[in-house]
Amino acid sequence: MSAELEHRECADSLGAYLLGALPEAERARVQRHLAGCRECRAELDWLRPAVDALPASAAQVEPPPELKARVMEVVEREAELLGAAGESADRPAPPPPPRRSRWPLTLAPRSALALAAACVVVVAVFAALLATLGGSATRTLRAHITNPALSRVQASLRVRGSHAELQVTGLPAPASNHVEELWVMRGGGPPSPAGTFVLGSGSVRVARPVHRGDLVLVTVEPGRGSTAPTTQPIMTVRI
Amino acid sequence: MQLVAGGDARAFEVVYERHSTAVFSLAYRICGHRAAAEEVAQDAFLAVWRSGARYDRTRGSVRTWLLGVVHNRAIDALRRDVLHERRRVASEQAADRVEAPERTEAEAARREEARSVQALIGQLPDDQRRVVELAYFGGFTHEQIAQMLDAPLGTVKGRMRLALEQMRASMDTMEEVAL
Repeated sequence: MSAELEHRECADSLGAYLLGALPEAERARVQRHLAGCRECRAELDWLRPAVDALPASAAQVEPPPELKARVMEVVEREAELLGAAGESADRPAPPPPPRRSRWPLTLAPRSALALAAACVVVVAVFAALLATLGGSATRTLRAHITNPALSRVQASLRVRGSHAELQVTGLPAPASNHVEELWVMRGGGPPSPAGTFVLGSGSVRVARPVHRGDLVLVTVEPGRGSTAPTTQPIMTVRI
Repeated sequence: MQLVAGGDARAFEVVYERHSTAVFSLAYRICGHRAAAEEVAQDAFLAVWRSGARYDRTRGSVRTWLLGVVHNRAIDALRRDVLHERRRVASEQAADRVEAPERTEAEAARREEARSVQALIGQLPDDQRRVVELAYFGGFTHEQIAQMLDAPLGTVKGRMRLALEQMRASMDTMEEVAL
């Protein structure tokens, strides 16, 4: 398809794109075009407030009080857990002194919760795998997607010995000038960088040996990657 | 939102209080049933609580972000077909709808905003309004809409684009008048 034709098709599809009416393949095509076309991006930005205004046209309906009670019950329970994780993280550890966490302050408690949730899922998957594979050969561990916006993404980690490979399907492209970055966390140590990638579907090698008990994370990082995570993990896998 | 991202339940409660009516209203408009709307709204609020650190203020207000999450989840639910039947039944039994009272000036301002947006949509030609509503509130793809309306795909896309252009132009005019 010529660049001109692609541009015209994208411009024609902007309304449907903003209204969420494009099928996945077409949506991805428009997104790719938008990444390189300033004119279409400007048009998109101009049209977007019209779509953002649409929710306001819905008749205003009062939510039942029980909804708030249910939501706040979960929130308060999780806040308590986060608070507990924060305190324990700040407590001095016995010698040898632990290395200070390199997670951003706002990230640490959230990660604790995400990791706890990930552990539950991964332990169950791991137990099932052990039962069938006898703990040998290649193991495939399902990743826990911690970002709800990516709930449709499928991801798993194939582990053989100390080598691991992440397989993803349907991962949206990161914002321009950003990459996905792999990290390996061992024990209470800080996350070590294990390679960057930009990949919608396919596999990428974890560029660092992994061992049982390690936690593999993926974050979105600016530029060509970071030396320490600057955002929350979008997925985690406990090995 | 920084406090929410840091795990502050009270800060989250403020966000809930401020936006729960808008969230529930959008979920209800899309799902067409209180139980389904509650499910979607609860899901969306908890998703926001758990991913508050991902809010980027340069990309819009908290309200826009939150309503985007609600919209995606409600449409996902619709597309899973779970709610289609409920919506059909609910549209025939709208008696359980409880209009939100105007408790505060902010609520009154939102109702005014709602009236303005309804007027904007009301100004659209019928064929344009229909495709916007089917896509945004109905969760239908342009291909499904083209089939439903027995119209060419390009025509449906064109109507969507024209509708948004007209709404946007009217919004610009309203802003100029306000200034």
